[in-house]
Amino acid sequence: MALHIERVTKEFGDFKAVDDLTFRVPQGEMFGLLGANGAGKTTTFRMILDILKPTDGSITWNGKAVDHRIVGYLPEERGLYPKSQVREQLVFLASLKGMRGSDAKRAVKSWLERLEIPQYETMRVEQLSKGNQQKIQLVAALLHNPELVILDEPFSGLDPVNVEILKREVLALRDAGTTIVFSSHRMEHVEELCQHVGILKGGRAVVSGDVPTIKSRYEEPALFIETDQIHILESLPVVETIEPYKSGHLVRLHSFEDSDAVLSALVRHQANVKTFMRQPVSLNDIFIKEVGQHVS
Amino acid sequence: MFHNFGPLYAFTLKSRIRSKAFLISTALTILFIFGFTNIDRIMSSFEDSEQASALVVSENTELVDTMKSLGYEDVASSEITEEEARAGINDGEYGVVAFVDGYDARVISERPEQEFTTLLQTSLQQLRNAELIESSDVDPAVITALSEPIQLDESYLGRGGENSDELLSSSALVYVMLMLLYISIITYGSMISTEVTTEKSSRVMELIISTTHPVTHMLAKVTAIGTLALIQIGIFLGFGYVSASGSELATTVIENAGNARAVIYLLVFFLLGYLLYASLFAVLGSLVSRVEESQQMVMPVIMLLVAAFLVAMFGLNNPDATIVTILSFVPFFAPMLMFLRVMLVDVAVWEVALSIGLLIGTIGVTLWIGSKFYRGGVLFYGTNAIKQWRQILQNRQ
Repeated sequence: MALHIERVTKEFGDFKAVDDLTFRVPQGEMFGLLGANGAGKTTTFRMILDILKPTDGSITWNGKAVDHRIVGYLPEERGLYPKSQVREQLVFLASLKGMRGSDAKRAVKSWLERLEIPQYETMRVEQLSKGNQQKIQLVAALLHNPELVILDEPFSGLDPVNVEILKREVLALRDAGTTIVFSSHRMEHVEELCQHVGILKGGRAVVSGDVPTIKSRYEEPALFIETDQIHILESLPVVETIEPYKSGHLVRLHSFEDSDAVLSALVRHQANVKTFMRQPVSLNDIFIKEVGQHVS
Repeated sequence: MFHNFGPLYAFTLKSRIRSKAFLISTALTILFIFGFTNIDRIMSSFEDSEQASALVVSENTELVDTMKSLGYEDVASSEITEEEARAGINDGEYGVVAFVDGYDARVISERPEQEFTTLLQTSLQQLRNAELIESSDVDPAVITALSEPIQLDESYLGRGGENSDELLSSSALVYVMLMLLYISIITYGSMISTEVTTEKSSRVMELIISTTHPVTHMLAKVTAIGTLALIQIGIFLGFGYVSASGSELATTVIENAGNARAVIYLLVFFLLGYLLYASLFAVLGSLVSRVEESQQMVMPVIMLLVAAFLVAMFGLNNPDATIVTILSFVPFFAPMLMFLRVMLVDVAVWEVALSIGLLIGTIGVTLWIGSKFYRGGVLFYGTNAIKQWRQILQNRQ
């Protein structure tokens, strides 16, 4: 069981929004789709949902066309009827996914309790705070127990407490065997939650694969050192460059095998060392390197 | 293709019926209908029915009796002078005083006393006529014959009715129906475009469109609002019937409405007209992203509707006019004009069939072209839908 995106291209007139994109998400895994604004993430999601038809290529779920009833979707631009009651519109949205009214009502109750907002069941959406509206939107995506869940920027606009609640639920879903594709600008969330990622630039996948493999490919031999005598290292032949970084310095080497030489030099000069560690490569570094800009 | 039609239809209808806007507009219209159908009774209850206390200074002793016989109760004969009259009126002792010299009169009062002056004039006229007839020795029968009106009976061979009463009543029904068609298409049509635009601007559209075919969505909206229209119009007609019962207009309209032919044509043209305009409104609503823009977008359609209505108003008195005949085949005018013609003049069956056929064909074409734009339109958040129509069509390929 898996989601297959095979050589998918989407053109709008002369503009190529998605260009020859391929990725697979095995069942029960979480896939992070990253990219700057306009990179083609939402267009890709819309094609998975069959809102847009690909110009070329195919999208399948277990070898067949994706049936909208097995998909749950949290759009980037949140959308609910502001004047309608929470329960009423959740039941309505579930009915569009083929869920029976009585089942939907039960599911609404249980989801609102899980997200710690049972008191909002009979309130109008416009009466809720933005963060709580977002929780309702998430319930709308998950109510019908979908096999495949697409979350477009699920954490934007949430306070840290609610981010944790949401993360907990997303992980519970994954552990229950739900396949999840999500996009986020927050690299630390993607790093924490996803086994696989794809980075889009101009509609093309510039990086794709499982997170540890990608990281090892991008890892550079560098040390993060906090010391009062960084100048000692300037004359060491194994050191390539030294640049200030956060509260200390980033020391680039030819290879990690040279770390010992750096440490013994510091010890030899009886330097006062607060921190000495391998500088890990983060998805954020990889993103900036590949996309060439900061994400906002 | 009609998957999810039911839930969408039910949700739209339910939220509309329960909305404050629906409840308030229904209540206000009922109030308006009540006022309109009881305008006579309401006006008369506000009228100052108390007659001003009046004095007449005249040598003619019959004048006061004549005025009393014509219905002015509070009038008496008196001998006061003008100064006394002015003082009495200022003190509020009496409302109006008339000084009559022969058949000429001068009236003094605080403000215009129309009922008094009219009756005074009529009474003086009667007394003078009586005196003139008596002094000139004319046979009273001649006088009676002179004032008798001429009898004129007309017979019409057209559809509208055999005589002027029947013609008036069918014109009244056509008028009521035209008003109904015009007002309801504007009201419910713009409700559809607003509904579609609201779903777009609140971005619920994205969720709906990922589960439902856009054409199903459009048809569900059109039928749900159509049902709402029928419910609301049903309430208005029912209330109007109760409220107006007894009035002449209501009786003639109801007599005509009992005519099965009129009812069937009314329903057919009402539904077809609504469908045509409503699908246009839905498509236009799908092209814009904000409710304010949707009002602007539907303007051309409203102008078309106003044009049809104006021609129909002209056609009420000239149902045979060439322009009415020609336009009754043009789909955007047909619902009003063909209905008007079948009710008021003889129209061949093929003409009605052709007009209805063209209307149904146009609805089909509108829905087909509309669905192409609708699919792309619901995902289009640009600012100029007219310039970017190509992009809208490309949104779904």
